[in-house]
Amino acid sequence: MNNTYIILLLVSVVCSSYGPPNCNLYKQDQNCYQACLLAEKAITYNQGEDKSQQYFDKSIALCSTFDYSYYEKAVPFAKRGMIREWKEMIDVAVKINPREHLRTRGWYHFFFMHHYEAAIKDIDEVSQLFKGNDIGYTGDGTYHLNIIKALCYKKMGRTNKAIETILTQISNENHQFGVYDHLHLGVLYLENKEYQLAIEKLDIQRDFSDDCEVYFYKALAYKGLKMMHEYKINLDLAKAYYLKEKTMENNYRQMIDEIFLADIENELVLSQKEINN
Amino acid sequence: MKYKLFFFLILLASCNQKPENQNSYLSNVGKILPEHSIDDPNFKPCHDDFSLFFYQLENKTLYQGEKPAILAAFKELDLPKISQNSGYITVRFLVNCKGETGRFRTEQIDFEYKSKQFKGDIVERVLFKTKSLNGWLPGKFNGYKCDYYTYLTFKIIDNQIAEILP
Repeated sequence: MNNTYIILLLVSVVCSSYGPPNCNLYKQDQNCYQACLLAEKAITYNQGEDKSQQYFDKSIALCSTFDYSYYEKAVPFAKRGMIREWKEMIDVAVKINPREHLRTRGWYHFFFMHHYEAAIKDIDEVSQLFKGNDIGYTGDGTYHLNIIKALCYKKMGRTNKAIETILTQISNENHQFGVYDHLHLGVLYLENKEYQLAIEKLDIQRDFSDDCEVYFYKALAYKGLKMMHEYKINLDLAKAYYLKEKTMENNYRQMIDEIFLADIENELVLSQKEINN
Repeated sequence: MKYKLFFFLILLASCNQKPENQNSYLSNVGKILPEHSIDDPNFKPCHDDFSLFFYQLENKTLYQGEKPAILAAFKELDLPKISQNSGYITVRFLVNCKGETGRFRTEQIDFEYKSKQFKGDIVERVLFKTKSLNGWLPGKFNGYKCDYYTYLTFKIIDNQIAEILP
């Protein structure tokens, strides 16, 4: 399947309904049942479209405790750079139903705003709510929330805490590995100058998603080990993968540890200087 | 060929779920209406009634040189350090099918995501620099060039740009 088809599929997901509630659960309260039906109507329209938002408004007017409508009405605002509006709505949803929406709020703090402190605070609150049970994954399934926490620590400069958090999470026998767990761990080891461990984790990453980032960071690990031949080979591989569009990818934003062609080319220039010396 | 047909049908099926509002297309929340008092009169969208959002496009690369080129442009800003002048500045705008930009709108919020006013001229300078970026590429959708909305959010700590999102 080439990228065009993947993009078409993604667009179709954007265009189509998203997460309909089970309205039968609300039948005891006719207003909330009707509010749920209105929410079902809302999601037959494109996300963020006026008609969709209007149905969510009607739904909320009919049942002010119907959290799903606040949550779902908020989503397009976050995606389109209007986070103040998103926050006003998601806060109401969280207040009504924290077990359902606190995870998403924590994830969005990280994902859309790189607000690491707020993300950690929400994820910690989720842990308290779930009292030792698994707190689950991000809405897109890319990460376990504890891996998100680790990435927050990384971006706050707390590399060892990030490594410890990932190791604790992946040692859980029920952990389902996310697409980039090993990549992030490998890069953290690289940042800690633990080059062999970095290479080991990056090699494992290839089984999950064989992207140019694997080779770019492996190159940097070999550079740290002064293995210049391997350094250059992996940089060349990184560029080849990049040009084949085998990269980390997210339609909404730059991922943590994602690299670009300029990053590879700058390092290639450096590698030539290092080899010539 | 049969795969192309299959995916086209999926696309059609999913995007045609709007029986009551045929004229709007994915562009209500976040749509930026023209304001003649502040907008550049020379900027014209290619299609008045059709614009997407950046994440809905087929092309991954939307700026020449990608994110590193944007980061490099803002590194040129020599902003003075002002303690606790922190929060987020977001600039939303429209890129037309020729890669030209217009309809810039700014928002300033604190770390609670509540409206605030930054001290000094950081907002004006960030906006000016955003307007000067000239590497935007036209959006592609179904193989055609199209207009799209996008944004830059600046995470500001002590009047310094700590991160640029998305």
